Amino acid sequence: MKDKELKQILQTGRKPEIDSSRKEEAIRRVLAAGGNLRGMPRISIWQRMYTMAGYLSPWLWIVQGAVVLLCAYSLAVNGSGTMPTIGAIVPLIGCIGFVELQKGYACGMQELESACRYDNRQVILLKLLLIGSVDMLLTLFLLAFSTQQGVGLTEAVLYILVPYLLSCALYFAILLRTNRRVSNVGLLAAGIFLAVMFQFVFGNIDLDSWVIGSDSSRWVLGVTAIAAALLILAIRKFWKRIDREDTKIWSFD
Amino acid sequence: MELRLDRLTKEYGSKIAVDELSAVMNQGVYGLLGANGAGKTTLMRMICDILRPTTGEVIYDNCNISEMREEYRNILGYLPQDFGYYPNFTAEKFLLYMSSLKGLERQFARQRSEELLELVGLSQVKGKKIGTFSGGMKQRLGIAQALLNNPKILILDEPTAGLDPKERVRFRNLISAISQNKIVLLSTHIVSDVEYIAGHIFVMRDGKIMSQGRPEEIVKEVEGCVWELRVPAKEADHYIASYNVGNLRNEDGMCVLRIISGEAPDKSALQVKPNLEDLYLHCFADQGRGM
Repeated sequence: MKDKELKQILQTGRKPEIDSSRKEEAIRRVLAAGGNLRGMPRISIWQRMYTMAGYLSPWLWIVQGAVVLLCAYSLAVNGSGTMPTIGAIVPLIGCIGFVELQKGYACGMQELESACRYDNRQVILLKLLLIGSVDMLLTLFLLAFSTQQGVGLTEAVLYILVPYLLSCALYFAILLRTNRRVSNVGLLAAGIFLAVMFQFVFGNIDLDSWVIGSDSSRWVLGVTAIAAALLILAIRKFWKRIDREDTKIWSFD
Repeated sequence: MELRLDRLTKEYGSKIAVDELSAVMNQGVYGLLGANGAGKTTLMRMICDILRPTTGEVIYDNCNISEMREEYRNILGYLPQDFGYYPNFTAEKFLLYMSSLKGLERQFARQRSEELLELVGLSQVKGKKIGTFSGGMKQRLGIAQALLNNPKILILDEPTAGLDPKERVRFRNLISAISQNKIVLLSTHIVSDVEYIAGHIFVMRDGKIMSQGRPEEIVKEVEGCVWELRVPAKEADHYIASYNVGNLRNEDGMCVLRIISGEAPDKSALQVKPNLEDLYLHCFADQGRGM
């Protein structure tokens, strides 16, 4: 329809006659409908993280902090010779975090959480951000402390960051494999297994000569990159699986 | 306000849990009756957008709920059949935690939690850990969390499990009081839970709705099929084995049997007015015969 024609129709049309009672009735109905509307104020992710932090178990931070302090103390007392032992203990830092991460599933809360406005997926995201951030800070603290104690950066990365990244990737893989229903005992057993394994590797393979070698930085960088890539892949797979149980195949539309 | 289920189907491999189920719900209390394995919980999970249908849609006010997402969950209250809890949380902390997930402001959440704990009779134990609660107390706490955000759609899966008769009556009265301007869907296999409060009943079996309507309407399906028969005690076993017996009581040395059958079980049987329980037993006769 052309604009001119439309304009003509609108100009010739009669305005509806609305008396005051109809107008008042319309206003009353709009107000009543508005009263039923629920506001959905946005809550920022930072605020939600802050709120969620208050509901995480304080033992998470206490135990992680204790483990890190123990490592720092050992380093301060025994020097760089204790790095292989620290590398064996580092997987336990991540393990403690994962116990908290999957607590909702372990306690059967995921169904309740899934039906909330900020659903189960968002709960996991907040926990990942919180626990992951703190874990990284603790790991970086250990790295910094060890370099301050005279340990080379390459050596520190090899013994602290690589075990941490690899162990977290494994924990995610365990959660995926068990459909997020692994017990706390199972996770701790995995942590202890990793600790033993890293202790064996660091204790029996003479990594020091490799670390001191001229190509050591590139070699360690490569290993760290692989460990980081494995972790990112594991997180990605885990995140995809948190969505609804399965996807819709088709609808009638 | 309209919640429409459009040919909902949920398949798990070769098993069809919900089979092309369609229904429309407006404001009011709806009862979902069915035996174990009928598909009630699967249906409720799809309505709550926890489970994606294999085919079909759930539509709220002309919008697909899977597209509405947060907006839909904002007006939803859900009590699952078996729900978990963080055992170290107190009742109050649990409600505050659920409030944070429902996006309620802290001040309002505190006030609302206090009100609901009072309503469900848990205000005296709000500081105690949930791990110390009895089954009935946990169930009442679950009902409280479902009401936190004053939902427009309230889905309750076996809400009276673990409640004693007094608590069940209290719960029924609570639902009746809060069901104004809401869609309340209540699933149960305890007929008395819905008989007095539901304005509309769905009877579900093998993933399908077998019958639906107002209680007094659907009960007509078994009109003329409910009999009362007085027999000596030694003959009672014969009738229990041969017919669908809804109730047996001893009276003056005789057994009075309430039998659901298309034909009179005996020429001395008296036809009686059917109730919802008779309909339930008639629909699920082969799933646990008689008593």
